[in-house]
Amino acid sequence: MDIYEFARGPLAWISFLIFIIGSLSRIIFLLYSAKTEPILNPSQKNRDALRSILYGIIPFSSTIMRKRPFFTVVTITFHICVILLPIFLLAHTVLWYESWGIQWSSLPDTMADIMTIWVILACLFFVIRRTTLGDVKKVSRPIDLLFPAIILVTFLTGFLASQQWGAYRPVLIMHIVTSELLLAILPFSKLGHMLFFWFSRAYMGAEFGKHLNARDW
Amino acid sequence: MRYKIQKPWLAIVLMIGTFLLGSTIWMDSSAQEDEYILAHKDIFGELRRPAVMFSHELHAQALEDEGCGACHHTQDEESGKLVYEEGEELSCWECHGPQEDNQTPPLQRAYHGSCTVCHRQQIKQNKPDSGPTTCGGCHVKP
Repeated sequence: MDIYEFARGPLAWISFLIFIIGSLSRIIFLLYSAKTEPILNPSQKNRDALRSILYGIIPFSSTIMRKRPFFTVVTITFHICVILLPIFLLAHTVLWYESWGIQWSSLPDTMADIMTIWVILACLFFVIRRTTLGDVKKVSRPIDLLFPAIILVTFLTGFLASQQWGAYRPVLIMHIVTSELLLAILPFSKLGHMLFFWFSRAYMGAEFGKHLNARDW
Repeated sequence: MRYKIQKPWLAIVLMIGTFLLGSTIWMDSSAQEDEYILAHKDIFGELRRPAVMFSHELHAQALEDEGCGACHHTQDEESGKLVYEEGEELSCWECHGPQEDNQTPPLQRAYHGSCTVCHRQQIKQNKPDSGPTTCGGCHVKP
């Protein structure tokens, strides 16, 4: 079968199914094992849990974010771009329409280009940071460099394909395959913080709030 | 024996007429162009992707066996179905506008549906020289 058609068709099905079923089963398993885990009874007030989540997201809210301002700016903008681009890029909305007949608005092309370049630069920043800063280097394993590298390749090939620089079809296929790889391994890797962050922060905030009557940020 | 042309004007008319008729041998008899540039700013507004070069000649030759009905269709008034009427071949944009209209798909969907779906079917049937199915395959950056 034609490689593009395979990547666009069956492989996409496989990748999305692994992503959806994997994410659901990981979350369900997390909640199930939390019930069987011996825990000190956490706070019942949702306020503590919610506060902890918000302090993890809102820029410069937590102390650590204020201590590392440059990193905070880079990582928060990186996350915004990485979440918005796969969903709202015009090329992607056309694909959703082609496959499922559903449509939503898309980002303007120049803004999308800038966001993509920013993601590429941010990935480079992360890789350089992990290999140079002493504290970070000590807690890094090879996989921690591999992930920014894969994300960088995904966004770089996407950008090259959109500008039609280089060999169009191979670059496009590479983009599709790397993004499908990221989707499939997301629930089973550290990228799963997309799913689990809410729960772990909520729990931490609840526990600190109840017993220590303290903040956890 | 020498004879002269009785009606010189008739001779001239016949000569010119023969010349004109004969020169139609190397003229195309089709009503459409060979190559089209699809860049409908009037329908789509500002174009977000490069213009598409569509070769009618290439497609007519490739689909010679299937005939013009492979792409050209109109709506039958009684049954409402899509049929091919010879001599009634229109350009796509003459019926398909920017928005969906009474179950007539909008132009982008009509184009993508006609072009990429057919190319994809060709690939599935293992026919070697099908057209592009990727975005940049048709919307080639100049």
